[in-house]
Amino acid sequence: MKKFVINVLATTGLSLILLSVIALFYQAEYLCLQTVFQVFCANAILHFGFLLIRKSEIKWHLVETFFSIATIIILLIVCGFLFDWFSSTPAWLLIPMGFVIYIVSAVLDLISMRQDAREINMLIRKREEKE
Amino acid sequence: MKIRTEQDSSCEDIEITIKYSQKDKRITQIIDYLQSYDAQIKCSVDDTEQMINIADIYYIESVDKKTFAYLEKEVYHIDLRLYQLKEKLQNFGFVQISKSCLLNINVMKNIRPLLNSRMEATLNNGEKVYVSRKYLNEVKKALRNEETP
Repeated sequence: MKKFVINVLATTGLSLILLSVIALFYQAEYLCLQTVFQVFCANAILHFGFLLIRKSEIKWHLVETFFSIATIIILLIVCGFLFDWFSSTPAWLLIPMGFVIYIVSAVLDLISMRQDAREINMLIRKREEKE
Repeated sequence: MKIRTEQDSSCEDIEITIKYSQKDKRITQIIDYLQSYDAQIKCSVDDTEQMINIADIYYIESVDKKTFAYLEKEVYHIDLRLYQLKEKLQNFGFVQISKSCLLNINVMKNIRPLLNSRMEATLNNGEKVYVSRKYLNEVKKALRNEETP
């Protein structure tokens, strides 16, 4: 649960930073407060989707990636219509934004996994030394 | 810890005596480990039943509701379900690493991260198995000799 909340907050932060950068590029001056909560809500649903995908433990990595990306696109389209995002940000901008956040999250996830792997390998070495 | 060995040609089987002042977690772990060396499980291959040493099992996988034990080179069928084996073998160094697999951590050589929150463990015989992130803490606890739930 703790990990889930951290992941939701991390990607919400990333989404808002990226959104602010694009907004700056379009010379916008502010982000609406409701956008912050909408982005948080979208990210929470997205991570719940990822949780279900990972729980199913699909054997093929590419199929899992396909499902993850499909979840992002479907969610962005649904939220876009639901929260009227498309009136300010076109779909061709919103979907690549989703991809960027997905890639950044995957890289961060890999870094964290590397730390775990290092720790486990160290524990294996320690056991071998003891034997 | 002092280890003393003694050769006795009249001995028919290996005899191990553990001396301790108080039975603690470490003693229990040593006993579990020694018992696992000799502990056996009923398996079958080509409709022939046989007993195999638990310590010889590399990993156990459930495929299409059937359970298989993978040894260094051989594969055996086990009649028990994965959840039953998890309970039975947790004191013998077996941990769940995915929805359908139990791994003997004593044969784990190393581990490396993959994409999509997964890891790949290489075993002593060169075989590779996937480890789900969800079970990483159990693997760490087992390697630290902590009790797993």
